[in-house]
Amino acid sequence: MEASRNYYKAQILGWSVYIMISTAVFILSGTELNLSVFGGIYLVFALGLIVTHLYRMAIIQLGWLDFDLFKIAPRVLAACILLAIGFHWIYLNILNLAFGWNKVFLWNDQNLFAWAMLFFIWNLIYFAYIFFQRYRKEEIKNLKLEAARNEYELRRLRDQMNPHFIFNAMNTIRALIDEDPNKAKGAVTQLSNVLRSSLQTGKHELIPLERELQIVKDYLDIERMRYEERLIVEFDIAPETLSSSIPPLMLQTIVENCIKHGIAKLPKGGTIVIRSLSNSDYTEIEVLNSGQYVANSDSDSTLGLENTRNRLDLSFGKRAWMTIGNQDDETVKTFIHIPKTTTHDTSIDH
Amino acid sequence: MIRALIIDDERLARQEIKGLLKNFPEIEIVGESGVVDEALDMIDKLSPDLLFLDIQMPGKTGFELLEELDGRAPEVIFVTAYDEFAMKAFEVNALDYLMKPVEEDRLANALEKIKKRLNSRKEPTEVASDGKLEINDQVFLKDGEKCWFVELEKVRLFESEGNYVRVYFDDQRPLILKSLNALTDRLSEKYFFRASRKHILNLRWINKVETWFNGGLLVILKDGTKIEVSRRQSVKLKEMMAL
Repeated sequence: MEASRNYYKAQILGWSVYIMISTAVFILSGTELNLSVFGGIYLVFALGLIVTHLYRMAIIQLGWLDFDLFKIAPRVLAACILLAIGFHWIYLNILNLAFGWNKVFLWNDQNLFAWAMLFFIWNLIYFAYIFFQRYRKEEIKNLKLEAARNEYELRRLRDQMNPHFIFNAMNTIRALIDEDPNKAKGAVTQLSNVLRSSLQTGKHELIPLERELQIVKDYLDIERMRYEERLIVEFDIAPETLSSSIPPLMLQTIVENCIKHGIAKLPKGGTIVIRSLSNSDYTEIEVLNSGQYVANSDSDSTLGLENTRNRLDLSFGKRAWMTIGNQDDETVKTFIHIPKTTTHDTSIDH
Repeated sequence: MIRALIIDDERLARQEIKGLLKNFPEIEIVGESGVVDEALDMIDKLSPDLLFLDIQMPGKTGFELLEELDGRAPEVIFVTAYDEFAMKAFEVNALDYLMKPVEEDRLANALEKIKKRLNSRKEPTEVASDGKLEINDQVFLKDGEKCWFVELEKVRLFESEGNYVRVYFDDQRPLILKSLNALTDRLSEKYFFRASRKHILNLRWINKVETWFNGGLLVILKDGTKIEVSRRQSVKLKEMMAL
């Protein structure tokens, strides 16, 4: 809308400038200013407006606005010549008609060259504006893209850090320093491991289950210190599954949710069971926790589930899936099916 | 001596607060609890001056505990690790809170504030023997995200609205989920008068009493609110006023 308004303003202004310059040139050169001279000038003004406006419609129709400079330049040059010829022909005919003249179209008429220059300047201004606008739009798009990317990165980091967990862990450790210094030392190491893993493994697309289990174990050890007798953890892992590849921190996220929505809500606490089964071409991971699953209980964890599904989909497509539901009145079961892939382990710390 | 009760579902978190409080001899820890329902009983029996209260606990939250209090509300210092929702509530309602792990300086500051408040609160002229809420007692009110600790002295009127009761104090009028009958039982009759099926009013806020139709009375409160008193209650009010 604004661009179109600018176009009309520029058109009127540009051709008015033409009138002023031509008039000035005639005055300075001492030409007698009669009706035919003014008629000529105003005819150029009116004709110029009409022709360039039609030309602009053509530009838009032909899609030149999306072309790059190398495609536009030859077209514009050709257009200038054609426009000049056409313009000159109409111009002559109208003048002949109006003033009863008998001028003929001559290829060496210097007016022809002047018209070509005029249209060239018009094109220069027009496309300079177009390119400037395009550059600005691109700039804005890039900035927006960058802002979106930064925000995503920030959210990813914050989600990974799980502040509630970290500050509670710190508080637990503070209490343990007096009560059981050795346990406190162990807790600091485990917390470090969890933090390091969440910073590092996020970069990999897939990591071996064995490594993910290590993170989960460290995490659950810290939570066990917090919840004490209220959290019981059982692992039942088939050794063949240890080398299976899974998206990093996927199991960790699931277990975090088991604590957040399950154990933390039960006054007497509960149990988390992590089980893995192997088959010739797929691995199945099962996480059971005390509690009840309520779909859409809050948007945050629904988003988390969605995220986990997306990651599985990105890595394995339709060959992997995840389900969550109530196994019985007091147990929630999360189930993951993943095809066996032979990935080289790129994530081992050196 | 300030008698404090620690309520947190994690033993080590309670341990941590106890450890910190060793440096504050004026605080006497009268008990601790990890379960909200048990904590409610303890508050009833021990009537502590101060609660250290966690927000996220299994079953019920710290806010829910306060809403369920039957007697007067003690002073409260909330203690939480990281909970954006609760933190917003603390800020909006100017409540005292500490973040885990607790910094000793901040604890000292919070306790200083509590001490000032406890000292400035007028002691009840006589100890309430019936355990009912006296005029100097404070109660915890919560309406949606907003919450208040209010001294009953400031409450002019309780008005029944269906299953809810609207509480009028200062320029606030939150709606709480309670019945007017339950409130009548809890409020001391020396200060609060059941004017009708709809209203309980604070006797200290009465400005004028006028006769009304059919031998009833119309009470005008200091803020200009007019409350009709039912016929039966009018007789009672007259007796009370006449001594």
